This record gives sequence, C-alpha cells and structure tokens, in this order.
Amino acid sequence: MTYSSIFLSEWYLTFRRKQDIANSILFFLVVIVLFPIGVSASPSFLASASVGIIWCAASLASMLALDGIFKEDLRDGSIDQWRMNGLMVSIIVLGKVLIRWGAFILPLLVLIPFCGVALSLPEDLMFETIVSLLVGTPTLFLLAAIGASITASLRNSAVLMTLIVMPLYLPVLIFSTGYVKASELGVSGIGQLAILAAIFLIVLLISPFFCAISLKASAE
Amino acid sequence: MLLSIKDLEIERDDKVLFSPVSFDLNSGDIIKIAGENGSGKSSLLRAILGFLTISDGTILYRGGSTNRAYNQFLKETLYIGHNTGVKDNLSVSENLYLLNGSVPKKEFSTVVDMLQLQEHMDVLCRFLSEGQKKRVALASLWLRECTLWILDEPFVSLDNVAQALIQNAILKQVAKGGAVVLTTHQPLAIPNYKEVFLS
Repeated sequence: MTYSSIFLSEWYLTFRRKQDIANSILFFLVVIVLFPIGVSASPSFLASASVGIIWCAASLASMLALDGIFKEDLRDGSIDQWRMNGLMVSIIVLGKVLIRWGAFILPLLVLIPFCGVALSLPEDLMFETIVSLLVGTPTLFLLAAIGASITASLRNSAVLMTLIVMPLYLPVLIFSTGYVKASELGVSGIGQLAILAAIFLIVLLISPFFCAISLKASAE
Repeated sequence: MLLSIKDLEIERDDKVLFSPVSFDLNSGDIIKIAGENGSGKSSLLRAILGFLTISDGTILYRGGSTNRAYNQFLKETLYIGHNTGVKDNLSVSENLYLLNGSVPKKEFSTVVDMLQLQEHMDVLCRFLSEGQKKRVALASLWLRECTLWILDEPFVSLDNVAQALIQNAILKQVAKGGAVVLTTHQPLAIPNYKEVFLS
C-alpha cells in the first residue's frame, strides 16, 4: 500500500458508491424545496432568509455525506493495513475527506444558482454565497470526520454523530452567513471570511490527528 | 533473534485472556499458535503488532523494544488477519494494486496465474467467493518482500490446492531466512515447526 494507491482506490470507490453523495445532495434539495412551502413563500421573506436556509441545508447534508466514511475501512481491516505499511492514518484521513468533499461540492455548486432562484436569493449575493460555501464546507467536512471516526464502530451512528458535530458547526454557520449578510448591508465582509479561513486552518491541523487517534482506538 | 516475546499478557474487559506467553523467533523459524476458539490467538498477533495494548510482558524486535523501531518493524512485517483489507467494491486488479502499491504491476501476472485469479481480474470482489477473496489478500505473500510474516488463519476457506501453495510459500520464506508466526486449527504438513499453546 502507498498513499497514491489508497487515494486512487478511494477515488474509484467514491464514484462506484454514488448513493452516499447522491443521498446528501438529494437531502439538501429536499430541505430547500420544503422550507418555503412550510414557512412562507413570499419573495421578500425568502430573500432575507435564503442564505441561512442554504447554509443549514448544506451543513446537514455534509453530515450525511460523511456518515460512514470510515466504517468500511474499520470493518474490512484496511486501517490495520495502512499502519502495517508505515503510512500515517491522519494523512489518509485527510485525503479521504478531501476526495469526498470534492465529490460533494461540485454538484452542489451546479445546484446553488437554481436554489438561489427558487429561494429568491438576491442576484448580487450569489457570488458571496458560493464563496462562503467554498471556504466553509471543507471545515464542516473535517469536523464531521471527527464525529464519523468516533462513531465508526457503531451500527447506528447518525444521531450520536449529529450530537457530537452540531455544536462544532455553529461558529462556521455564524461567520459564513455573517459574511453574506455583511455584503447584503453593503459593508465589507472580509473580516468574517478571514475568521472562516482561520477556523478552516485550525481544523485542518487538528481534525486528521483526532480522527487517527479514535480510529486506532476503534480498531483495537 | 528476530522476535522475542516474554511473559506477554493481554486483558480484555478486565479478564486475562491467557496465561503468560513466552517464545523466541529466529530467522528460519515457524511458530504455530494453537488454542481453542476465543483463547486469544488473534489478540496475541495484534498485540505483537502493537495494535492492542498489552497488560504485562515485553516484546523485543531484533533485540530492541518494538516501540523504538516501530515503523521499521511494521515495514518488515506482513500481517494478514481475518479482515484482510480487500475492498468489496474494487475489482481484483484494483485490490491487488491497492494492497501492493509499491510493487511494479508487471510482477502481478505470475502470481495471479498461480492463484487462478486471471479470469476474475475485472470482477468486483463482492461477486467473488470467500476463498477467492482470501486468495486476493494472500497474493501479497509472493508480491511483497517482508522478513516476518504474521498470518491469522491463512488456510480458512481455501481449497486443498491453495492450501498447498501457501504451505510452499511458507517453506520458501523460512528457507530465505524469514520467519512465520501463524494461527491455525489444522495440522501443518511442514516439518520442524514450534507450537505455542494458549490456555
């Protein structure tokens, strides 16, 4: 096993098991569609709520996209083999999460303009919304990976994972919608964006190590 | 001396799995770990690899503690456990590449022919039988160069032909100066192996 052989296999596996990503994207769409029906379909209300709705849907969907990312590796003994080959579990975790993020964000970016129209998102906020998603969702994925690694050995992990991960999502949610809101008010949101990027860098440093520790413990 | 185990004890859920185990493994040795189901054979192998915390005893690799030269120890060791790392949703050739990524692909063909996997190279492993999946995992025995082999039940779900192939590979490995630790419930057709009984 080498890093490249593992990442190439992961690439194949992600596209061979499309349902994981398809489920989360579908979930995202369902939330977007149901919200206006349930609350209010008036464009004036939706215009101010749309960024929040998109972000809530994206954060729930990202959790769904990562649920079970390590389960198969734990069950089929892959984690043992990574370690036998002297590879660092944290680097493999990072690679797996980034591959999964790539497979999630591409269809999402295609859908966002349509969702924006459906939710009466002001046209001049479209760019900021996409930027906030590009900067914020990798953080969500890395945080969800911690939850996924802690619950990797459980059969039904979705609820526990939500409980672990949701509080960690809050800062990302606050600053990403804050960034778009600031642009809406005509002030520069660059501060919020910088904080969002800083959170990403911190999580990028610590999440793979947390995941590696809990995956090794689960494999005992 | 390659591997030296002294008074090794493992606890699981506050229960000691077996009475203290000691054995030495020199190059050219084959050690068969025997014991009833649940006596801790697999746990012993995983403890040697450092995947399981030991409650007492020492493990020395080439005279030093495995902690110190841990990565070196793992790189020189080939471990094939119950869960082999074969991915159900990858084809046989993709799995061979995943498990033996450091080996040039052109070396695969002789091993694939020997293990009679050549007709299934593009078949996803979930469509294969247990025995065929095991063969995919065991291909590493011929493809990779490792001094120490740690094999957990290597003969399970294999037919007689494949079992004979594995036993031959083990003999070749010890003739080359390597060493093998394995667990199995069946008698080995190999001369001069040591047996360690767990109780």
